[in-house]
Amino acid sequence: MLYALLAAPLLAALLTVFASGKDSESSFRIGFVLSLAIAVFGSALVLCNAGQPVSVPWFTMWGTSATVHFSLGANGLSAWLIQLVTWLTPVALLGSRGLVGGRMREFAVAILAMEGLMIGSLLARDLVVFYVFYEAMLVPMVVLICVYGGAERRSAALWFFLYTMLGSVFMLVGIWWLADKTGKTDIADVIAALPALRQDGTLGPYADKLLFLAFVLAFAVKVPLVPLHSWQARTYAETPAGGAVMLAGAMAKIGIYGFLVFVLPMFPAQCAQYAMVFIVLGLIGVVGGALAALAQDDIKRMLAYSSLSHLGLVMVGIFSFHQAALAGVPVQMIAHGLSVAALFLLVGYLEGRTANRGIDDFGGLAGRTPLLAVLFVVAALASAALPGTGNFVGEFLLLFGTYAGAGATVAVVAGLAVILGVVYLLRVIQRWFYGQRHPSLDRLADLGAGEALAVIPLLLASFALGFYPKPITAQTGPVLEELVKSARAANDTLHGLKLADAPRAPAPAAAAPAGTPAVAAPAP
Amino acid sequence: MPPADLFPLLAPLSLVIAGALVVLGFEPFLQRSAKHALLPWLAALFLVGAGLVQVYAPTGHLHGLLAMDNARAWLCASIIGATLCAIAGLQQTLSRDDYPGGEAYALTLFGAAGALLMVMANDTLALFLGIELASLSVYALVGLRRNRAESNEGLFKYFVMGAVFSAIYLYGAALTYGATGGTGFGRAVIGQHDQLFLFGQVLMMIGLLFKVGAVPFHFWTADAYTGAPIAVTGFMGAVIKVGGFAAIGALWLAMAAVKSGFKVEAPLNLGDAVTLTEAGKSALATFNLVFLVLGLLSLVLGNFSALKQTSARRIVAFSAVAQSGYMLLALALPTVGDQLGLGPLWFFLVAYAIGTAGSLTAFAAIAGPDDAGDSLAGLAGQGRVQPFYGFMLTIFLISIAGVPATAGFVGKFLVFADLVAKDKVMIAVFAMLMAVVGAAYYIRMVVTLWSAPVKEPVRTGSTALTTWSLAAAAIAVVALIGWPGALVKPRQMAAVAHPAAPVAVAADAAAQPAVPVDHVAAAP
Repeated sequence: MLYALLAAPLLAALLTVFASGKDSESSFRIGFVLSLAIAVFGSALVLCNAGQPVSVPWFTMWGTSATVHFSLGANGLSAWLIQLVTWLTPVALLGSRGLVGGRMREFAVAILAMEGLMIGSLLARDLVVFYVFYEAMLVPMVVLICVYGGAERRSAALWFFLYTMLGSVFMLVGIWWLADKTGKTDIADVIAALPALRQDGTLGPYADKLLFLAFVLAFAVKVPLVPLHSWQARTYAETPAGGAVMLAGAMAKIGIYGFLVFVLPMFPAQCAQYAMVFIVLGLIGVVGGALAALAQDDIKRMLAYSSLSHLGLVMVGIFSFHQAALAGVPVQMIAHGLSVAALFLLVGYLEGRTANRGIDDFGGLAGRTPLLAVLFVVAALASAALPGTGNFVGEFLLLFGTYAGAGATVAVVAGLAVILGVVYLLRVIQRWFYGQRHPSLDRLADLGAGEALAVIPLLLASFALGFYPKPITAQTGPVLEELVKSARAANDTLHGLKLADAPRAPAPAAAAPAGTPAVAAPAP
Repeated sequence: MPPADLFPLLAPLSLVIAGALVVLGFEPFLQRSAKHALLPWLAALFLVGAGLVQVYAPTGHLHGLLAMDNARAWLCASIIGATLCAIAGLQQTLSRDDYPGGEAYALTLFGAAGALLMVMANDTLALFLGIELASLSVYALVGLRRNRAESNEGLFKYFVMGAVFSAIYLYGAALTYGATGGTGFGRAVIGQHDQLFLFGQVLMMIGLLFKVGAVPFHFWTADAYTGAPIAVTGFMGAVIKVGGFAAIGALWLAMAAVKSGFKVEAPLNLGDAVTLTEAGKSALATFNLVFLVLGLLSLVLGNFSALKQTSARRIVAFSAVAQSGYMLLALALPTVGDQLGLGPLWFFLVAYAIGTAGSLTAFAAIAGPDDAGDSLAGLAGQGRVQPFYGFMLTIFLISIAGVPATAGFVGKFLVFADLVAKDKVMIAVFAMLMAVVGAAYYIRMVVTLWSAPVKEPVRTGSTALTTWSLAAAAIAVVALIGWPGALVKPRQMAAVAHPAAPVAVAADAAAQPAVPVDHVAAAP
């Protein structure tokens, strides 16, 4: 099942290459139908817990006793993120139909390849396998930016690739080191073996710190966390709308997934020790991102900074180690993926029609393109965490957990972001849809049925999530608890609290159904 | 390693040479246009035959002169594959430029035969035969465009330097003969001639390091690579490097075995690991240091010089210097542990050979008449007008850059993971950083290929052979990641030879224990 899910998008990409020839329309049809079929197939992961782990030996690393296994497995967390990836793919294809014109074949191939590689990295249960997919997904993204990107696409693509690659090479060295010392590359085995390494002195405090930094760097670039975010605005600005759906909607979430699955269980002591650093960096991202978004005149750059702000909040929530915040993490990841994808698509439609995307370039569109205006306002309000949307649930849980776990100051500062988020989005709505319309915009066409159809499901899903987030919290809750257990314990010890006295909130995940396999059980 | 029959062992080599002779024999009787239509297919036929025979070639040795084992078979196969790509690229170039002669195809086959001899050689003179056969053919190929000044310059520099370094190699071989009383690799030193032996080995290594273009013997690469037609650049980059490093590796393993006190009775299996003694380690320490220093220097000089180039051939030339750096690092002795095995190097070489030959063949196809588009500007936008070549070039370039999921990534992975296992973590970190610098110019080529606006496609020559050979090479580059174990057997499974008794003074000829190193030919 998992091998099939991984292979399906890649096979679909191949099929699209061979079956569609130069006909752009048939490429679209094949790619769209196949990606929908994959999404339906993939939903088995959350509907009936189909993610039984599978594993075959791949190769033995020279000079060590570590045999790399091509092992895949899904748990509640990765299953839901895979839903995000698989359902965003047909949306990205549908939404790009009018934008990429005659080059649909290459576009569909790149999007499908990226989908497959992202699924691979979410399913990987082996460090090496994860790294392979984590790096490889950059390549289709670079091609996508190069072929369909904006004016600065060359430097943006190069910058994006080198920045993210530089971030992850140290992790690769760390993986080699771990493989050599533990003789294993399976994630759960490595996590289980680490305490023993620390005990017998193989992993000294200094080396431990370096290893921790190597892993943090790899994921902090992808999220991005504040000092490492400079690739983001540039890349988002030059990425075509469909690519941005995958990049902002799904790929950035894999950085957070990396923090949850690798950094927290592998380095609980360091996480606890430096939790405040991450919270502060996250807060700088939350507030700084929102302020920077306010100052942009390019809407795509604004959305990039807004993502920085929203994902900074997720990082703050993770490092508060509080149960409620952790319940909010997956909800916010998925809700943000949906809303930012909708916004990027809508901006892409406007850009495709007028080749402009400045905040001052439009005005009075509400009368001319009512459908676009309505959808944009709804998507913007979702992104600003209007009650009733998934974003509200996510941000509420995150802020509540932050308040309980990391103190009122942090929560108040983070709460600012919600207000600022409303401000910069309302500014765009005010400029674009009200006020004076420039005569050149008088012939602007409203959205077609296909274009609107790509956005509406995203918004509906966001509302559904807002009213009924339980499926996500119920399935991800136990997984997250397991992942964060050791880090939280270390944090509590550090702050002189007994585990039993630690502040706990009644979490929605309390009554979770059984059956989500644990990823990372530390050795008893 | 057991002795083998003459004919089956030499069958692939004989087929390549027979192909060269047949091509040379037909050449005068063909019309100019028919030369480029017929001869490459004839050459390809013989190469495919040689490749098929290579798969079934027996392992064993021929009077200690030539040897064949699993690793050598893979290297030979990669040479044959790279030559096939080169023939296809030459057909493109020569038919497009209406070149008045077909001898280039025969020369390419002779060059390939020389490289095959270099891989199989286990004797200083057999190796010299291979070096000269390969070099002389490549000299002529570099000067193929007789009317071009840079072609003549490259040819002259390469020829004069090559002659000097061949002489240096030969002198080293003579000294080694004087010290050991024989021409085979891994012979014990007679009497007190240890210094003479080491000096001879140093000179031989210098000769070989020149052939592979490692710093500080790299000064010919840029001129020779630029003077040659693009297809020839790919051929010499791939094939000579495989031959040269196979010879360096064989010499190095044999030297390690001798210095660790083994009596080498039959040619060493290139896939085997030699168990080093302390005496052996200290005797090889200087060599080891030199390899490391030259490797790091090659990485720095090659990568940073390539970063500044705009001509694609010069980029490839300097990147070839950098790639020799990675390969030299793979020769490093272990700091912890006592096993010296070169498996990662062989995989790296195979991946490198296919990637280089493939990328330059694809590049020859889109460089236009007289290779005039040999610059980043000429490359710009060609991926969009010729998606097949663009796609192929992308695969090969990311493979050489070491980005997953390609064979080049696995090659770097194995080499660096081995370095980490040898406890040379900082060297591995440095090499990874250099790999990011390398990725900068490879990805810049990919970005240029796809990002520029569409322009007229350049005129291409006959394409069928190119299409098929490139597709085969691309499939190989992707498929090789699946079974690295088939090529690189892990050290634990290799035949590990232990000296019967600890040897105190391995350098002393009197202390040679009479234990055969080879597990197959063991007859104590």
